[in-house]
Amino acid sequence: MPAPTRILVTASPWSLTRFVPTVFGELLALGAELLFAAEPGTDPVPDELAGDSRARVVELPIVRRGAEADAVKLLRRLTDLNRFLGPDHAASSWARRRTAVRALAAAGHPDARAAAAGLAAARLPAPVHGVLTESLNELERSLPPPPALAAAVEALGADSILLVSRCSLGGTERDVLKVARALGLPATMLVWSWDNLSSKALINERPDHVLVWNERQVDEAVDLHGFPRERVEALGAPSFDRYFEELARERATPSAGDGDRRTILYLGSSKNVCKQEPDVFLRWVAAVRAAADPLVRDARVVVRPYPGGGGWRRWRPDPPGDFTIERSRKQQPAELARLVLDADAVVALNTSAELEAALAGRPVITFRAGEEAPGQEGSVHFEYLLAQHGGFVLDSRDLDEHVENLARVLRGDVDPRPLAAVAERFVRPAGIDRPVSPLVAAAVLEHARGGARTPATIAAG
Amino acid sequence: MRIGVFHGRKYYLRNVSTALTALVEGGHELVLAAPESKGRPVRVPAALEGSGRVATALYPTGREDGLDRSVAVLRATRNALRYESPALRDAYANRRRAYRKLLGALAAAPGGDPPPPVETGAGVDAALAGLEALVPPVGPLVAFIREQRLDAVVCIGRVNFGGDESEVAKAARVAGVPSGLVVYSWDNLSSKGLVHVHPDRLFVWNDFQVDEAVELHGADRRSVIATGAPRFDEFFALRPSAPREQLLGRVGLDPAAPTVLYLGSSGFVTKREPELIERWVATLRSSGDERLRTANVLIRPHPGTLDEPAWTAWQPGLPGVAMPRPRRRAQDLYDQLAAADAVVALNTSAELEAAIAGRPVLTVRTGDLAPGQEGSAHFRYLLAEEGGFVQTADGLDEHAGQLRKALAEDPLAEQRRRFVERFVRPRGLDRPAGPELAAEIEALAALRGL
Repeated sequence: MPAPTRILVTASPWSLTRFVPTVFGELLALGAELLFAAEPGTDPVPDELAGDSRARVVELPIVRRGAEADAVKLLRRLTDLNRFLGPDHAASSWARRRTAVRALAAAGHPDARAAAAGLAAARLPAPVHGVLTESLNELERSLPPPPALAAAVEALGADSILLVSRCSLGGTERDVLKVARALGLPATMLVWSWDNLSSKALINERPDHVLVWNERQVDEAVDLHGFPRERVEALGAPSFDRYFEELARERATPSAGDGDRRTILYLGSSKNVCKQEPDVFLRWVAAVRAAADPLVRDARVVVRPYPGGGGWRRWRPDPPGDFTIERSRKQQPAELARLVLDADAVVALNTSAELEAALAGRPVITFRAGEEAPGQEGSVHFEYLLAQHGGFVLDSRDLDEHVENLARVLRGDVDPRPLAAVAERFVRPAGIDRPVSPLVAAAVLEHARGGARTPATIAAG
Repeated sequence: MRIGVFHGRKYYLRNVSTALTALVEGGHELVLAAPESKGRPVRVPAALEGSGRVATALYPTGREDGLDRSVAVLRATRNALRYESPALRDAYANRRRAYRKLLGALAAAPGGDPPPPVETGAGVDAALAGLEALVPPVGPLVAFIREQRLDAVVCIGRVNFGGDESEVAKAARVAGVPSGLVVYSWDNLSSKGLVHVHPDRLFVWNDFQVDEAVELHGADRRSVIATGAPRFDEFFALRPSAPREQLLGRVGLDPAAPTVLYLGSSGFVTKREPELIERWVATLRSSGDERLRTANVLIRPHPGTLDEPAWTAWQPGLPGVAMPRPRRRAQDLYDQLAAADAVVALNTSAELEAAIAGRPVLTVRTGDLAPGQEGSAHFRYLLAEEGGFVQTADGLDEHAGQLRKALAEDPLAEQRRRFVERFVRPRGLDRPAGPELAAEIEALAALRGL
């Protein structure tokens, strides 16, 4: 009997692996052995795999330390900033601001936050951006992998590396990929979410294979990161497999309903989109309650604060408003499925949960919150979901137009089915009935057994 | 001991020739190494020609790791940002040049003013220095230093933008050979680039430069050694080649009249010097003081500007004014100084020779007409008001008064003598700097293997 294929699983951030248990379950079923890389004190193994001897934790020195760590951090933060100063990212004002603060802080600026505004307002001409990109990539390429990490990985005897990545700013992707290259291990990168390739770090170390959700992300991987197109595969979003299961289960349970009264679900966004979203929400509630159409004015309003901090974390409206607050934790697909199924319309600024809502067949509507939400219009991926750009979210210039759109939706004037079909193609391009995790697992295993392609580093903008 | 003498340009050796001679006479072997990128063979200075202890070599400069552009951008960035420090922010001409170099490194369109000053804080350069530390040395240069079996590497440099000093120091460190940088001149640490990689020893002229090395470049004070300026050793020993009557008579000037020598500055200081000279001469000629009205004016253009349009298109054509073509030989300058009663200049190293020759030196602040004067950090070092010896005036009328007084009584003679000692021979006016530097280089080589 052949030895199982031993795959070293790393993630950036480390907790991502906990949210795609279906992929790892499939890998185990296909005969893989999984070593989950962990910094001391972390447990990246999904609960569903607990106790399975074929899935175990290996502690690795993943985070760079030592004399050069600060310099490497600065180099990478400059790379991230430079990315958003270039012509391809003119619309990414929020990412530019974010990366400017981080770069200035790493450079020891005494008041990085204040100085970042000026820096983020800068635009680099294409030739200058090209030179800087090339220079920064050259420097990155010249960095050897962290010796301790390389030695520790080599000692594991792994056949390949699976990197689950959010392309995080300050993430560990580059070092993991350097190690893979140095050891000749095939590396497959699974991109976690739909906004990761456009709004975060440049991956200027090249994996052998990149697995993404859809064709738009294939284009991003090629155009924005410089990956060769033949190494990028659009297999869908494995993180939605559990959601689809829960959705089917919840659909079988009738909604409690509230008579003729309509329900509007407001889905909070992350602090990166809007730091004080409760203020925006309260303005929105006031606009809804002032609507001319009673379907809107009298609607039941449910708000789901974003489950990850920001202004929502300590928000306790006083006095309590005319709405229901439904707090939940991250990655609770059943709860989210129930919430969206109980709603007649869903409102959000810019969050992945809009996808869950659309997949449930619910119309999704947004409005432009302006400077209060710099990560909304200031993020390229915001545009991706808008109906006018081929997406499924109904856009509104302001709250007045938004309230009118809400009325149209609640009256049933908008057919959500074609919009839902867009969302389905976005997360399951191979077909709405085909779970993605088996496809991803098969690809990972195939690449693990296929060997490394002796990748070179890249120079992308 | 076998000592590598790295020099980006052949004339760099001239400034340290007395030190090199002392090393050879001390029994040491020298390898005079020039960059192979210059494409020219190394020339041995006349004082060392025929010595069996002097070899030449070309050192490799090309990287094999493809980091050329990164290094250029990184260093150009640091060079520009150093002019955001409070100490150098007012050196607007130096700052403008540094930003121009940065634009060049970035392939950006040239021209325009540099950006408004930005507050970077001290931590920024420390962070960028961390990036410099990530850059490996030039591999072939490391191999070259090893192959040459050197006991010490000494680089003679001006800390130019894009100079080789840092690469030499970095390669020497990796090769396990102690390294030193001999700073070529008095303005190099304040008006040019950064010392990106610190050698084991930094040899400078004086305590001003010790402070600059520490405060402007972050050098460890213990590694910075003031030896004096070997370039003036020859000058100290010179005497006039002819009597004053002959020196002035051969250029058509009246030996009986007081003589003012105007020393031209480099093109970086001003592109409009002839225009300034005309105004200056007109002021003298319209003075109420007869000595100024009738004084000889001897003009010595900076040897580096002779081909510049402002100078090629200009001839003084004024009575009592002579402008012989300058020769680079020290004797030529010495003779002109010997024939002069006072010296006027905007901002040039020849002011130091004038001080050594015991002549009063004066200047006039000229604002935007000479941006490299007040816009250079080192301009103030020589000023009398800063403890130096150069009398400064805010306008030509004030200057004329100072010049009249200087011709009559030279009130700053003692202050000038003390400054010369402190600035170019800090170990004693009677102690040539070349042997002092040679002894320090020997001590550097002795570090090998410690």
